[in-house]
Amino acid sequence: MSLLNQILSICAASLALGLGLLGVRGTPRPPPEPAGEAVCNAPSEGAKVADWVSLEEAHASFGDPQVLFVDCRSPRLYETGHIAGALSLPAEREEISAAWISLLREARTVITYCDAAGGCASSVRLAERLHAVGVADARILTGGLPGWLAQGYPAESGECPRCPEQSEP
Amino acid sequence: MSVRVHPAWVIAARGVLALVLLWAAVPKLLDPGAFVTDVENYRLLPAELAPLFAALLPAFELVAGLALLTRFTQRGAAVLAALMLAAFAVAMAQARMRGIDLRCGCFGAALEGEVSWLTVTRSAGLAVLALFVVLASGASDKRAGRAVDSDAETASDP
Repeated sequence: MSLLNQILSICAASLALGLGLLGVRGTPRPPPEPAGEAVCNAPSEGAKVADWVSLEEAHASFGDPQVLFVDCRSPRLYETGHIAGALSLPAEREEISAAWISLLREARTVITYCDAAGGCASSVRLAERLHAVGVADARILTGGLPGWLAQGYPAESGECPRCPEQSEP
Repeated sequence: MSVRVHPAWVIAARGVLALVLLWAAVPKLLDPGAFVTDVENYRLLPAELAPLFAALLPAFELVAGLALLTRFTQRGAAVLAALMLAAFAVAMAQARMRGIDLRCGCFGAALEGEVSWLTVTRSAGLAVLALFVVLASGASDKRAGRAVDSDAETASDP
C-alpha cells in the first residue's frame, strides 16, 4: 500500500470512528462549572490547601493595606494590565525570596489571581506555595483577572514599584 | 530520503509511539466532555468547533496508534503521528508564549500535568521519533521491494 493510501485509509477509519461515536453519544459538552466558581474552579488534581475568594469579597477588601493582591502571570502580562496595586509574583518562579516572604507574611490576606485559564492553575499553585512558606491566609480569586475586569473593578498597567525585586519566571 | 537502521530500533520506536497514542486516546474517549474543556483552554479554535475537535482527535490517536502496530500501515500512521505531535507542541508553545496557564489535556484528567516547556519538548521529541519511523520504515520498504524484485528476477532466469 502506498504511503498516500495508508494515510487516507487511516484518516477515513479515524473519521468513521469519530463521527460514529459522535452519532452514538452526541456532541460532547464540557462538565458544568461548580456553583460559585463560574470561571475559575478548583482543579480536579491535588489536595485543596487554599481557600477561594469571590470577586465581590475581594473587591470589598480592595484598598485595605492588610490585603495584598498578587498577580501570578508573567511580568510581561502584568505590565500590560493588572488589578490596581497588585504585586507581580509569577507562579513559575523557581524560588520565592526572603524579601517576598517577609512582605507577604505581614499581610492579613494574600489574594492570588491569574488569567483564569486551566482552572486558575497558576493561582492555585502559587497560593499553595505561599501556604508552604508560612503565609497564613493565601486565597485564590474566583474568576481571576477576566472576572475582575468584567465587573469593572479597578485595574492599571505598568511595572510593579512595590515588588521586592523584579520578578522573572 | 530514508534512514537505514537495525529493524529493532524501528520496532521499538513504533512501540513507544503506539503506546503513547493509545494511552492518550483512551481517557479522552472515555471522558470527552473534560477534553472539550482542555481544548477550549488552548484558545486556538472557535468555541463551536472545540466539541467536534475533541470528538475526532482521540479517534485519530486511537487509529494511528493501532495502525503503527501493523507493518502495512506503519508508515502512514507515523506520518500522521508526526503531524499530530508537532501540532501539539506548537499549540502548547503558543499557550506558554501567550501566558495562558492550562492543563496539558494530553493523557486525560487522571495523569494531567500543566503545560510547560517540558511538555512542549516531549511532544516535539515524539514528533521527531515519528519522523524517524517514517524515514527508517521507508528504507526497509525499499529493501523489501528490492528483495522481491531480486526474487522475481531469479525466478524468471532460465
